[in-house]
Amino acid sequence: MKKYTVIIPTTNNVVGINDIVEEDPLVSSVICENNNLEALPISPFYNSFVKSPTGIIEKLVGHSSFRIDITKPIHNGKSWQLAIAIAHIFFKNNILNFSNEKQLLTKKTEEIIWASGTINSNLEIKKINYLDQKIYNSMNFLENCIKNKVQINIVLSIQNKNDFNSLLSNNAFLKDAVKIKLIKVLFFKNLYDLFDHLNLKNILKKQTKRLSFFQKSKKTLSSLSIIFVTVLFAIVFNNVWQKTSPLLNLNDNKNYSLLLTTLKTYRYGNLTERVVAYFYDYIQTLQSNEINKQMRINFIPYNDLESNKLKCIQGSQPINHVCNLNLEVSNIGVDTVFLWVLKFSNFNLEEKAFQKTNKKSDIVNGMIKSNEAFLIDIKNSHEPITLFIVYSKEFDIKIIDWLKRVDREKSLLETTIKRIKAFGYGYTINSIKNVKLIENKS
Amino acid sequence: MDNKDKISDTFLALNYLNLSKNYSASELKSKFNINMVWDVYSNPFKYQNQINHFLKNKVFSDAYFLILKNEGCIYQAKLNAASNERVFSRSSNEFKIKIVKSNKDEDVYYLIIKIINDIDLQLSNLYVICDNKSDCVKLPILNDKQAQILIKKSDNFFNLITNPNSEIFIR
Repeated sequence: MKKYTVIIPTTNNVVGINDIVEEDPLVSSVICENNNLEALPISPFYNSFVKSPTGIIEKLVGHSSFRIDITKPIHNGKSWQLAIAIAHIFFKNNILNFSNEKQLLTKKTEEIIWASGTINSNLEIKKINYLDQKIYNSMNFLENCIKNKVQINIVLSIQNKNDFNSLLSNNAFLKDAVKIKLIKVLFFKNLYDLFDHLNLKNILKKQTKRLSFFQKSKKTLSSLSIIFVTVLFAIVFNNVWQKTSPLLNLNDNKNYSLLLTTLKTYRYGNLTERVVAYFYDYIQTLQSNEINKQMRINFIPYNDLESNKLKCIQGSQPINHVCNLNLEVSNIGVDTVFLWVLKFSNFNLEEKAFQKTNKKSDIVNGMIKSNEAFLIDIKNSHEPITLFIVYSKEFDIKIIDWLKRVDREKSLLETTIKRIKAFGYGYTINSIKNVKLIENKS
Repeated sequence: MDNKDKISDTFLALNYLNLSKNYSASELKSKFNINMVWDVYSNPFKYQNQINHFLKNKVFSDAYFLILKNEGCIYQAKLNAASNERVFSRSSNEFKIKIVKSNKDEDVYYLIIKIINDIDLQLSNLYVICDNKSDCVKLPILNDKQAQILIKKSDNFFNLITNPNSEIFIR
């Protein structure tokens, strides 16, 4: 493979590279002149240019400490960065030809890279100043190269293109040499473009984002955690389903007693069973609330006697005890609703101990289509009564059996309410008290 | 120099007058006196090229290092329990030293000096003294409290700095 000699032009000298040595990473990188022991003053800047994270050389060639020897001293500035970076990459790939202390060109030299520019962390080549001085100082060297049939590549930032073109117009030698391609002038935006141009793409590849071990681990961990969560979710779902499906089957088959027993067991069971019971109750409550919302209850007082008619005007609160009552239940929803109305005396529940016989309860059953109403005449009685109304979107014959037993004992009322809730039926309970109202007329 | 500084220097010089007892007549002929020692201490840059020559004089060296110790410097004492004949790494509360061989030349070593704490002193030279032999090198500008010097194995300085019985002063 063809080897290149890298030249660093400065405002005072044309500088060649004598040697590059990889040093112990503990050592700060140094630039010395011709194998001398004294580090040049630009060494701290060179060290920063090499060492990651500030420097780029370590990132490009994978080593953090170098000693580089140059043929003439460089005292200040940063335009050496481009040439030094190229030299490091060439050195790494064994295509760098070193200069001698006295001779920049050796017998091995076929092609030179005369480069001046600064480089940022994105490997973008930036403009340099004093280009005219650097070119002027290099004239003898460039003439010597042409004399020795050495191909010259002048490498600059694209930002220096105008500066160089204006130099060409004032320098006939340079203009002719460029014209007949003894000197190639190359302007680049970044270091990748330079290596691309020199057909050395493989040496400096654009870095695709490689994942570090930690990032890889992080990715693997996140994949594993997704799998873990999915598996966990599947197990939990399976457990929940195992417990839920019997409840749904019992509900579908209307096996109410077993459903209630199972629910009761779940409520005092393990965590999954408790969760299932909670959600089952929650869904049934939602269903129950939905039916309740679509039903409207209205009490309409009336009396056929002319003398009492005025006492029984709708809307007056409280309703006079001489009035009879009609219960109007309206369905404002879309679906047809079945209802069961139980009217029973409060004495049946509260004064059981003093009653030898139960007062007779009435159960009325019916169906209300969408936007229709159902009117029930509640016979006037002289004792307080309770109206227990149950709604369902399906006709359930067992509801009558449950209601029949409600007025026997207060606990049975509570059990029936639980039962009705468990099946997602709606219900309302209204108490009608027959009281004497004493008004203060004074 | 202000009068104030002159007076201050005079008083400091008086403090070290007892050192003058050590100067023999022949040594006086060689133009060393306590004022000279004090001047070298006060102006290290002025005597940069001569300091190693001065340090060859035992009395000068004793006086000089005594002044350094008293007036402020960072210091490493002799190593009490060195296991090797040569030490390539040593540290104190004030600074650490590492000596690393160069891959370029077997005769060349890097002396890496790392200052541990922030100090107000202007550090210009590193002095090594061992068994009446001493040497001094100029410190480069500290970068991130670290300095690096290239030294030759064949030099006296290398022998002294790697000797566990050496005392090291930086000032």
